[in-house]
Amino acid sequence: MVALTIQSADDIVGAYLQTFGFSKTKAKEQAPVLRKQLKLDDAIGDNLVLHLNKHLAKKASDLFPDIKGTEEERAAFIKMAYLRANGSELWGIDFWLGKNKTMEDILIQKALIAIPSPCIGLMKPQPIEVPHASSFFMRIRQLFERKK
Amino acid sequence: MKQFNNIYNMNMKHIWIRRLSVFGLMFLSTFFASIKWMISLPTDASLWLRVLMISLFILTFAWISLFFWSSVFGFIELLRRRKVPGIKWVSSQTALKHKIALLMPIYNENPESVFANLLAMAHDLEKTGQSSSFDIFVLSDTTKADVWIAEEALWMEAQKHMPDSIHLYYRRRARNIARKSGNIEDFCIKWGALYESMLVLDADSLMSGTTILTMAQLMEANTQAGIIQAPPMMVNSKTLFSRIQQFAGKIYGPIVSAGLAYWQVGDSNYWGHNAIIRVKAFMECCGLPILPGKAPFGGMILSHDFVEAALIRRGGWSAWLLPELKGSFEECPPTLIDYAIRDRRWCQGNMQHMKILISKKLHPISRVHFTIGIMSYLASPIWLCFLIVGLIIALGREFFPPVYFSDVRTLFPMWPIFDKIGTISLLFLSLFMLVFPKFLGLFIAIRDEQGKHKIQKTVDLAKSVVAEIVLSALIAPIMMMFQSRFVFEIFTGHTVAWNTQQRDNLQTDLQTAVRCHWVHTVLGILTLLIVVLYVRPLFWWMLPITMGLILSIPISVITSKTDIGIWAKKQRFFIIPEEIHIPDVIKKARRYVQILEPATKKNYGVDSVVTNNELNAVHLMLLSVNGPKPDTTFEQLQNAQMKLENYLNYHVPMQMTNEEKIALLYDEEILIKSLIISKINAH
Repeated sequence: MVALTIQSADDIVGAYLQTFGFSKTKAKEQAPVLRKQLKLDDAIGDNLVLHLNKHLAKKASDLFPDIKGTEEERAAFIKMAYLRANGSELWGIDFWLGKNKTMEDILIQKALIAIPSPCIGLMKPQPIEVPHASSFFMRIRQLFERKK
Repeated sequence: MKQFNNIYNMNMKHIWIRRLSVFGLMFLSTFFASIKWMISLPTDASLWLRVLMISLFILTFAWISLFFWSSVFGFIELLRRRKVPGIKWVSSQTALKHKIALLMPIYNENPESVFANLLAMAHDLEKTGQSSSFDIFVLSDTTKADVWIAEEALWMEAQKHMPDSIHLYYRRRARNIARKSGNIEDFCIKWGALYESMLVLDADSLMSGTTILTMAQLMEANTQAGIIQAPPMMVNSKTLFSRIQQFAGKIYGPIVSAGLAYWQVGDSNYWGHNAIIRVKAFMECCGLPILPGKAPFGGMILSHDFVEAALIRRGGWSAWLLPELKGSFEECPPTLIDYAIRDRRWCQGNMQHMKILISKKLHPISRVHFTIGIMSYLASPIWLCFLIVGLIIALGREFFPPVYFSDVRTLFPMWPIFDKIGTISLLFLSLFMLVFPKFLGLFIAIRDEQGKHKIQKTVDLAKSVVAEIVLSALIAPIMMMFQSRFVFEIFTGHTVAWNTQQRDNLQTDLQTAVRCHWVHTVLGILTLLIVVLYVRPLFWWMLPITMGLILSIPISVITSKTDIGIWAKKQRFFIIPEEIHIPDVIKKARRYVQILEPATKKNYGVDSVVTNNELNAVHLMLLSVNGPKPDTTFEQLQNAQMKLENYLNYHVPMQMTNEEKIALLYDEEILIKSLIISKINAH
């Protein structure tokens, strides 16, 4: 994945924004603003994406305390809600920058819940007592011996 | 534990009278037929051959007479329109108090039809007004990467069409421990406590909303019920083979189910799907152990459904088969070969039950279920042996002329006695017992036929029954050969892999048919030659068997054809009422297949995960519910990464192995970066 390092930081943030449904032009416009607002001037290449995802993962944990998983998985969770809500049109980069009650409500509504929170129970393997062949024949022998 | 007590609202005496009548008649008819057979056999045949012939006859005849008497009692029940006694029925308006989970365990299935069926069921449930009591779980054990991605994409797509009142959950197990039973067990351990009951479906299951609701209501009204099974009816068949099976299931299925329900009452069996199970009972009783010994008899339990029913019954819960529950559908394997492949798996599962059959503390009726399951496959080699021994006896008479005067001097010669009339009458009796229940089924079908053109429909049904009898007679010897081979393979220690059942209408080509049936053809020709050359009197009797075997290749190819199935339908053969008045839920399922079609046409794979925003996000978020990552090597990941880079940067088509795809699909970092690169490269 060396291809990332030869791009400018704005190009990377722009492409990142495109993965959130931003148009190419809008992403190009918003990328420097977002980078500035999130104080990502020093971050380059891989680190940029890492920072942006970290930011999202935190947001996801605040908004959906029940979700589990790695930073990437939590970030993907909230990203999915954003994409389903057509967030790029509704809120643009405000999604990264601040809190907004209406936005949060819509995100909660649009979130895809894959599974409910587990409620762990116990299921023990049940005994199936298969008589051993030798013991089966032994029993038949015993039966005859008793009769004698 | 209320083991084997009366756990249903019925006098135990009445239950045992039912059982005694079916099994008593079975034993009586077998006894008299065997006596007749014993005295009909040629006296000049060797003693051990006669003993063998009589033993095989007893087993074969007992098997068909159980089927016969069970069907007769089923017919009487249907004629009297009686419901299964002992279970409390409730009004359809009864409100549900608990939550119910609909479980769809899948394994490399076609996700389009899976999600279409689920959407149809969800919308049908919504009509009942009680849909908020239901949650749907898609429990995937899929191992093929492309199918996995397609499942995720269609889950996401299906969410758009789901009624708001029903949750559609999806989780995939990265490691499919203990196959389907392990899949359900995993659900129970994690979420079972949230639900009162679970309705277990199969990938091709389809159930109407009212049937699902009725089953849930019955579960709540009958607190001792552990399992309620709705007999599934085959639908959506297109090939000639599956249309014949579908028709047979529609016409004879009701009397078979009613017959089983007549003597099983609350000790019924579970067929693995289209059944509702009390989660508490399942969790208490159905943790399946690993059987001692090696596969195929030891190890993991394959046909878990019978065992689960037996364990639930052992735990003091009742199990019901309710033929009154309509609106329960499934699909049939499209071709004879697909049917045989499924049978191979089922055969091994049932043979494994030999070990469980003799295990301790089981209810006697559970042992009967196991025996029936075992016999449904053992019957084939028994029938084959019966034919071989019969042929040997006939050949013996040809090659070794009777000895009229033995070494011991006697006053009169020893005339060999062979009661030809007796043998023929027994053969006709056996044929009658096999065929007569089909006409009983036809009678009930005609009685229940509704709407206009009743005479035309009666004629159509009657001619279809005759055609079905002829075709099933031709197919029977082929299945006998298949099943005999399966039993032989299992007894010689050959196990079967866990393969996905073929559900799409793929026809059998000539090459495949020749590969699968050439042995049958050769054996058929050899038998016919032997019969023509040496025992010509048997020619006509053996003809249905030899013809079936000789024609096995064309039969397999022709019956696998969809256009011949359609042609038969146009000629008004094998039409079932559900094809004329299509149930709502089936219509809905077909509509959702069309709605989901554009999504499935995208041909999902790794490339779509690294180019599609939604799919990338949904895939990553679902990784957290996937469980631990399966074992993949560093080399596989490196190869995958290299191929991915070539794809993204130089548009070289990705030709990854399934293992490489899986390795890549678990690497979150690469997937995120690849999506970004795909956007940069798109500039």
